[in-house]
Amino acid sequence: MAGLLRAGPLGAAFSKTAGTSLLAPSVVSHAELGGVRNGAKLKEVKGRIRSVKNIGKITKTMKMIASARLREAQTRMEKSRPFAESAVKPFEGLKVDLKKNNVLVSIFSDRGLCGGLNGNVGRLITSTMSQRQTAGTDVSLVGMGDKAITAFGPTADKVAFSYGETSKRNLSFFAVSEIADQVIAKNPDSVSVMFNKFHSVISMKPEIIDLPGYQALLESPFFDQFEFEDDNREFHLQDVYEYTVASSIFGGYTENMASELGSRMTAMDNATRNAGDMLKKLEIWYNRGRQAAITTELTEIISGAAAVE
Amino acid sequence: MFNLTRSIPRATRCLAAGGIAQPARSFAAEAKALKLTLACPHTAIVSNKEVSLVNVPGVSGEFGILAEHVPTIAELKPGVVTVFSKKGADEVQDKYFISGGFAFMSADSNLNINVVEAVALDLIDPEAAREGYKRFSTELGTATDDLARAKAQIGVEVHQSLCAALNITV
Repeated sequence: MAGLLRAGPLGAAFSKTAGTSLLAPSVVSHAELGGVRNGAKLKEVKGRIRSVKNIGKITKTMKMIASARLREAQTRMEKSRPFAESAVKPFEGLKVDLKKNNVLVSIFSDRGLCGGLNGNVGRLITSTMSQRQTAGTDVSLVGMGDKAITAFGPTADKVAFSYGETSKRNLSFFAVSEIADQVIAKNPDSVSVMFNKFHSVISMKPEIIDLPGYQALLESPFFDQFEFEDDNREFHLQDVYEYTVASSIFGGYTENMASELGSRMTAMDNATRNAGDMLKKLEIWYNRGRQAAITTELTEIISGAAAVE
Repeated sequence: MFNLTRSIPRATRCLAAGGIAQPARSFAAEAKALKLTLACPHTAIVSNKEVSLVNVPGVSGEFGILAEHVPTIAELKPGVVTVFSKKGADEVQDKYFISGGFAFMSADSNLNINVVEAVALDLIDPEAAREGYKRFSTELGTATDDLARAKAQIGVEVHQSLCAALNITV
């Protein structure tokens, strides 16, 4: 948000003040601000004040919307946590060997202005991919959310597919299952899910969950400790695997939704506060300029009148 | 490992240090109770609740799970999950119709039932169940391709199960 303000009409305010700065209006020279000739400058500042006010209103509204949606997203996330966690629990203690073919599902937001969320996931993807590729694993990327496309730019050749419009409204488990089906169809040796874990309203960190692929599940002695119905391990492990992939993506998705809204709320809150601060300083500058212009006019009139006498 | 040392109550540590023997715990105290979590994507219907017995509809038949059951991964078909638990001195039976999912029984007596949809049996409309069975049966009869037939078959099985659970004859 700060970047937006720097680039727009207010950016001009920062650069045109030759030698002086908005942050120290008291050192602005009267020679610069005085005189009718500088009325144009005052008009510009007035325009900037208006635009900062509007931006402040917009960011305030965005913050309120985000905080209202956050409440329901957080409830939704907490309610679905037992589901996502218990789907992965049987695999606790199973070491995931990434092997040759790893599909990395990363969850992004649809819209921006949500703080460092998407950037953090993007950076983690880059570091994870380079780590895994050095170890000999081929990573294909799957993205959820419109912002995935921007993040995937540099690694476009590794992208298997991407889904847009996933965070505008809540996806159901069925919708996420369809995405999971596409992932499973790639026949990966391992599946990873990357998302922003919601620690608190102001703290979210990107996290990866690694899951073994079907072949790995079948070959692993880990499952010797479990009894399977009618001893048909192959059949049931296939279903368990598909179910766990879908559940994990779903869990990551609900967490990311809550993270996105919390992050946007904080970012918009900061932006509103910044806009307010900027507005105060602009208004002081404007008033000084206005008063200086009036003073100059008065002195001109008075000295003119004195000369005539 | 360090977590274990942190959780040993300080009193015990002090007593042990002083050389006083701790009374041996009885077998009853050591037997683990069965803890049930019944979770759907949108909510957890039962969360870490202590129960005595759970009957689940496995794909090859219904079976019951008690505490200390051997670790199992069981696939579940649409049917009724019955939960027997104690409320004070009485034994309570809760019945839920599930859409299908998995039951994971772990070595430390934690039973996780993960299903796509679960509904308390008394919240289901018997008329809708009967009507659904009729509708899917007709669809099965008129299905033209494999996909439509499979969908209708699933509908028939689920509604058949629903009607059986509600004791409705179709």
